[in-house]
Amino acid sequence: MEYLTGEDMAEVILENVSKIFPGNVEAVKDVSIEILDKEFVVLVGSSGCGKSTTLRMVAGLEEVTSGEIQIDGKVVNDVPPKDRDIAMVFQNYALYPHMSVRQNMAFGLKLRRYDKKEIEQRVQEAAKILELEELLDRKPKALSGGQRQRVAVGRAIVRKPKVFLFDEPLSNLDAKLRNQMRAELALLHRKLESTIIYVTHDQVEAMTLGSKIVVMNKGRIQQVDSPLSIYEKPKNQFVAGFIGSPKMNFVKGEIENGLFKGNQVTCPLTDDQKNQITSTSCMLGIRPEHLRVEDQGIDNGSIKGEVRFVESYGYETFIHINVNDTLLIARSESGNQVKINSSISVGFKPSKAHFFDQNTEQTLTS
Amino acid sequence: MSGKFGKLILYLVLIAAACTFLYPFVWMLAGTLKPEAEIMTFSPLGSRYSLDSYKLMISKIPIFRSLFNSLLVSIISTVCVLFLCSMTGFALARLKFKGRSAIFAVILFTMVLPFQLTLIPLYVLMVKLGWVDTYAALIVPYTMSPFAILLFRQFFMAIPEELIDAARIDGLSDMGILFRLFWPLSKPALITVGIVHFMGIWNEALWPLIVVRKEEIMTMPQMVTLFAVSGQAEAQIGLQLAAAAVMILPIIIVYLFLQRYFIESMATSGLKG
Repeated sequence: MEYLTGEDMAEVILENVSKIFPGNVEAVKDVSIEILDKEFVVLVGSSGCGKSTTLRMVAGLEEVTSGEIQIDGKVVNDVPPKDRDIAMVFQNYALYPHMSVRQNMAFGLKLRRYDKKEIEQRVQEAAKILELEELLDRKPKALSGGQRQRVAVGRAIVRKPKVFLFDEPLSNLDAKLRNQMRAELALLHRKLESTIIYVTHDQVEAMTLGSKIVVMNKGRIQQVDSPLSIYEKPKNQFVAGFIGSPKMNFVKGEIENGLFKGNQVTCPLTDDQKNQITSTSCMLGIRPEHLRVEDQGIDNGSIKGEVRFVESYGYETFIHINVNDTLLIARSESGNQVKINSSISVGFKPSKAHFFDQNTEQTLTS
Repeated sequence: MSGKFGKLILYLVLIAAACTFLYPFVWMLAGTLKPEAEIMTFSPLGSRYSLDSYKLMISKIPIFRSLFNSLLVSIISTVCVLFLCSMTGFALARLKFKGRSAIFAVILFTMVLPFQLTLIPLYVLMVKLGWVDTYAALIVPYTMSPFAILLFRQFFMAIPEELIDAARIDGLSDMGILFRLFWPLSKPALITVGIVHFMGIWNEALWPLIVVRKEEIMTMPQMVTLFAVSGQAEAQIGLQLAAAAVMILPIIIVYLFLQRYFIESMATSGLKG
């Protein structure tokens, strides 16, 4: 590990960064993020939300239209990628096909005219960490997807950069390998103690890897927070719907005398909610895991509907409930015996409910 | 049964087609070795074989000097095409600049112009530059090829963008990306362009006939053409055929060594284009 851990501080700051592509396509709008040293920040959002463009701007692969990017206290807007002291891991690995694993990993160091001995030491060290020692003389085409991704990570870590950039690195792997690599990346971050910016559309990766999550939509930041805060206190309806699987249920309705009513759903508001919510029309959001058959009661929220279908995963069951042609999902423990087309009533604790403005989609509670 | 019969017919047709290509070639080679009186027969076989035609040819024309000239012109021109056209192809495929599409369209357009059309303006240019009767006149007009540019561009466009991004982060410049990343990945394209261009220059007779009159810098096709039509061969067919055989020999040797890449490139460039 002595060769691959760095002492350098690596803070990354994006200030009002925007990117407009030719044809006036605004991919990133006024993005400001502060990434602290040794932090693992995940940019998450659906396809085309601007997360990869943001990462590419940090890497120097895309020019910044306006705003400022700082790495380690220096403005790098006009600094070429090779001089930014960053390393990047790509979705399709981007290994040089004509080079062996060893040459792939050593290439960046060779171009920087490192001593041969040091290059070899760093390559060996990285190969040991990533269990690639046996594969050093193979060409990328002779490796499996998981091995190729390891080599791509190895190529990044031998450089000992200030910042690691990961652009959807696990998207090309199958589900099992993805889970395994995810755990390995988390472990690697702990070992290397480096700053990582990680882009993904997979909210599970975001929740499990990130110490800070940046949720993006349509080129704008929706929320920056810790994974748990994002899950528990989403700032708007987009974040609430994007984080969590299955996604949060939304029901339009009105609040009268401290009681939410809408589409067969009722919910008495807690005192906190009563104090904070001033408007009468709003959107109620409730996560499937908080909708439970067991939580029915006079003080709780309730939903009445018809069971449309049931998805059983063994360890948990999702019940899809049709409420006046709107599908809501409830999560239940395994073995819950419900019949399709039968009436069902589920309850939820009012404190678990989220309320959003119908027009601005911003949260009405904090 | 019908399957086997169909196959038989197919093979017969293919053999007949192959013969139409190969027969003139075999006939020519046999003609260089047969006695003069037996050359103009249909059969490539002769009553006896000798190298007399070759010996006579060597004594009559400076064939080795022209062989050297041809090699010099073809090699320099091919190397220039590989460097310059791959650079142009790279720019057209991977660099973003204004007018890129227009430049590519103009390059493509030059492919449809027959050489005869540009012959006179090019000759005038050579006269103005004072290059007539110099190697420059034989080499410089052939240092660029629209076909090569097109082939390189298509090949380079098929290389994933992320590979270039990775190379930029690793520290390669545009030239570094071209020569240290794209070249090793484009061996079939390089070899195809190399062979096609080398063959084209090697076989070119018209342009050298126009710009070169000095015997010392004449290329082989020029020499062979002059030899055949100017009476030096004294109407001896065997002599003319021997000169032609010597001329094609280097091309065959190059092709035999590199044919695997050549076929591979022709196949893949078609798919990727």
